Amino acid sequence: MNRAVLICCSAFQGEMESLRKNNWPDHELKYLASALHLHPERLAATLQSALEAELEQGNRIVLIYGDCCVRMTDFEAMPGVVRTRGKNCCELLLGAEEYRRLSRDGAFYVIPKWVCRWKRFFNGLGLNRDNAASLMQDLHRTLVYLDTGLIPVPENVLQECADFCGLPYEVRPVSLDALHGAIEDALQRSTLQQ
Amino acid sequence: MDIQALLIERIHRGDRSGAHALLDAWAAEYGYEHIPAEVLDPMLIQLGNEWSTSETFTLAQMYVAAKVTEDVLDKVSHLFKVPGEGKPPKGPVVIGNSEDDFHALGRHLVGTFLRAEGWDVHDLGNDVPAGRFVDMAQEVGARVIGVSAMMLTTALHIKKVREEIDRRGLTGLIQLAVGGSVFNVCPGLAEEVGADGTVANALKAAELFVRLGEQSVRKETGA
Repeated sequence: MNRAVLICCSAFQGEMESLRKNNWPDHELKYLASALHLHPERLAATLQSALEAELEQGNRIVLIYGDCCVRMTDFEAMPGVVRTRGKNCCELLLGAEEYRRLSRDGAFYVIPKWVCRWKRFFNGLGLNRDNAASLMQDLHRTLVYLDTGLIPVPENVLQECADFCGLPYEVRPVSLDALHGAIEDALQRSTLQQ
Repeated sequence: MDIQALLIERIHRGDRSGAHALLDAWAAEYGYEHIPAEVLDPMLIQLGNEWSTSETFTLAQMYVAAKVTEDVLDKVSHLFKVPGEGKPPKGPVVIGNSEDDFHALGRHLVGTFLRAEGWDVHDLGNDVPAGRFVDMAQEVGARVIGVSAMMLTTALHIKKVREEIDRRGLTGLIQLAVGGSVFNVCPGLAEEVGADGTVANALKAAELFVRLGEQSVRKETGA
């Protein structure tokens, strides 16, 4: 098993393409749709198929995912598979310490890939404006947009979402260092496993 | 249609203000003091049963049910100067999210439904270290600790709460309840983390806490 294939949630597609150019030009990168998170059982089935296909080819695999479905630990236990350390995509972008600090301050995270889908998200939960605002104010203090600098900050969309939730928003510039470090760490563990 | 059915219909629609209008109209005729026992309790029992066997309810419905409950408790408390619904106090309990877990909604709902049943709820919030749960339980004399977790990795931190209870020689005296969506999709996880019990949704938490509280008393008295 020599060749590493990075299987990544498409939530990171822009960030991954940016990192790959300078870091892992030889590794193959495959994306699975981030929308699968809405159906964890489908996400698990899709991951299972993708992993089996790569393992059959003799490839080692780095999963660039958080703890996104309950079978993630089963996947990590498969020989030749390692996963990035982090509970979710926001922690992978921020690093564990910063993620914890902001979460304790009541952050509700908004990532570039998600921001345009906010209406669908709340509609899918059955939350109208009143209930969404009440719920979000019960649980959070601020919408925190993680600005990875790859697309212009969608200020109007953020404002609309913030108004709907009855919360202020802030834009937090985020370098790709934490994500890069998490992937490097996983690649090293993958190499050591060989 | 009776009041419970009308109320449940509004909760199904996520219509919180409609639910309040209905309760206010009913209270104008029968008195607000009768709402908890005659309207709220039967409604919560019915919803709890319905949602135990169905996966069709939405987060909005569960949330509205909790907010209607919370609002009624606040109003009764304000009007009649009695805590909860005026039910006999069931004693203190401690709840919180497991270490590193920040998904507060389930815990929030459980807290509301426990208060409605007369429990004195000490809510420690998100990301609670194992020792803090047990410290607080000992401080307030709680027989049950309830730990919520959304993800598998954070659910596994609950083992530390189990270990801490056992390490202090409190096995059985302090019972460990767990909950969160991950427990519904991972059979055996509650046992794996050392829980004394779990239930499928927040509305069923009050029943579980009663049962675990009784187990604790039996352990203490040797009955």
